[in-house]
Amino acid sequence: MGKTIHIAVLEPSVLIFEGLSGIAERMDLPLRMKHIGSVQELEKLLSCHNYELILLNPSYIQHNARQFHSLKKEAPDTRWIGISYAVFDNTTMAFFDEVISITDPLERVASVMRKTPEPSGPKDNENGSLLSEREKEVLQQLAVGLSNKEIADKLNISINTVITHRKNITIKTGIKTVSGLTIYAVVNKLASLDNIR
Amino acid sequence: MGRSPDFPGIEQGSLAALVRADNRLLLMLEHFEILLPLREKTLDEACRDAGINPELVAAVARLYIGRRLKIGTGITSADLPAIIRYLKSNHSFYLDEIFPEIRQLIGQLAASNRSEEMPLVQKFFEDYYREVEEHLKYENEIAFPYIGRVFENTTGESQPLNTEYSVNEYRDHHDDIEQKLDDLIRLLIKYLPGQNDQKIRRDLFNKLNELDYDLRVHSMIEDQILIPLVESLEKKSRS
Repeated sequence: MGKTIHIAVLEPSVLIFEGLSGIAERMDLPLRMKHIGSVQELEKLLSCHNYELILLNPSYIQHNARQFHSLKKEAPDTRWIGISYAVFDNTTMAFFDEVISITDPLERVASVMRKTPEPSGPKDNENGSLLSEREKEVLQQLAVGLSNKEIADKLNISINTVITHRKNITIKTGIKTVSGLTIYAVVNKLASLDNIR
Repeated sequence: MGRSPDFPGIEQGSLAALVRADNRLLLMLEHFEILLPLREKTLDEACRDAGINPELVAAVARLYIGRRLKIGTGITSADLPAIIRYLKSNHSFYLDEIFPEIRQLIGQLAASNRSEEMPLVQKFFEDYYREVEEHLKYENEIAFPYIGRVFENTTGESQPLNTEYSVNEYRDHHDDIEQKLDDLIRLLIKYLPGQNDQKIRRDLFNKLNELDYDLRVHSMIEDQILIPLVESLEKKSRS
């Protein structure tokens, strides 16, 4: 089973949204679609969630071009798809990675949505041996209760590198909480009860 | 699964047929204090007897079987007390019933399985339990009483609303207790080494899933039914 694809839809028309989510439901892919009502709401969501796909009405870009370009820069892995049912100028349309039109056949809409890159990382080959040596070291330190900063100092790497390793550990194991990862570390003999704080 | 297209009509069919089509609905009815035996009752009749709006029960049933809410749910602010009663019944189910069962199964697992990680699993569960308890306490002591006051305003027994609080805050408060439960389930099915304890594990897995499912529907009800309803009342009372 692949990871869930998160899709945000910024589109004032409920009809269009319902149509898109009807198509999405029939695609047999694990995905979650969220209807968003305003640019502010999108911004707020993007600050704490990753979306693989954002479908949006081009009129929002027209009025907030600069804001959108900076949002796009901050989320490089996100694909931006325009939902077109009116004519817009080329500069606006150039913003999108791809455009679907409301007259497109279902297959085309589905295929545009399907091209979404799988969230990075292996899909279901989650197991301890898959962790790289560095990731195992980070996990060991995490299990004994060190903070990101402490791990960075101890392993002589930057905090950002620690954070990247942690992200990859979670993607590979599927386990998100530190206490869950600690149990995982003990199961895989990367840590023992004695040195866990 | 509830998604099958030949699912009996929720509002028209007999409750007994509904429960046979999806056994999880039995627990849902119980949360509404509609108990066995169901006899020949339809949802409408059972709701009339229990004094609940059938549209509310039908809406919750839809969420339970994995469908989306009907367009125009027919739920009004008059249903707020019933919604709160439902959610509180969920709470007692968690605290008095399913959590003790899960704790007992984890205890059994730890007793039969001497591996090093079992004490950690027990601790993990207790930490998770405390978080859930705290969340439920917040709902019982802050969110629900507030919603009660919003409701009383609609019935004329007007009390000033605490303008500091709004149901939006409640939405934000909905955090990721689901994440811990998800980790626990994943550890159980993928990683924790077994020691001839498959049956305990299977029972535990089923219980954890039952809890997970009920919690998910619980927050869907809050997000999709309760919060929008309260928000519309807030708008009215503050405009």
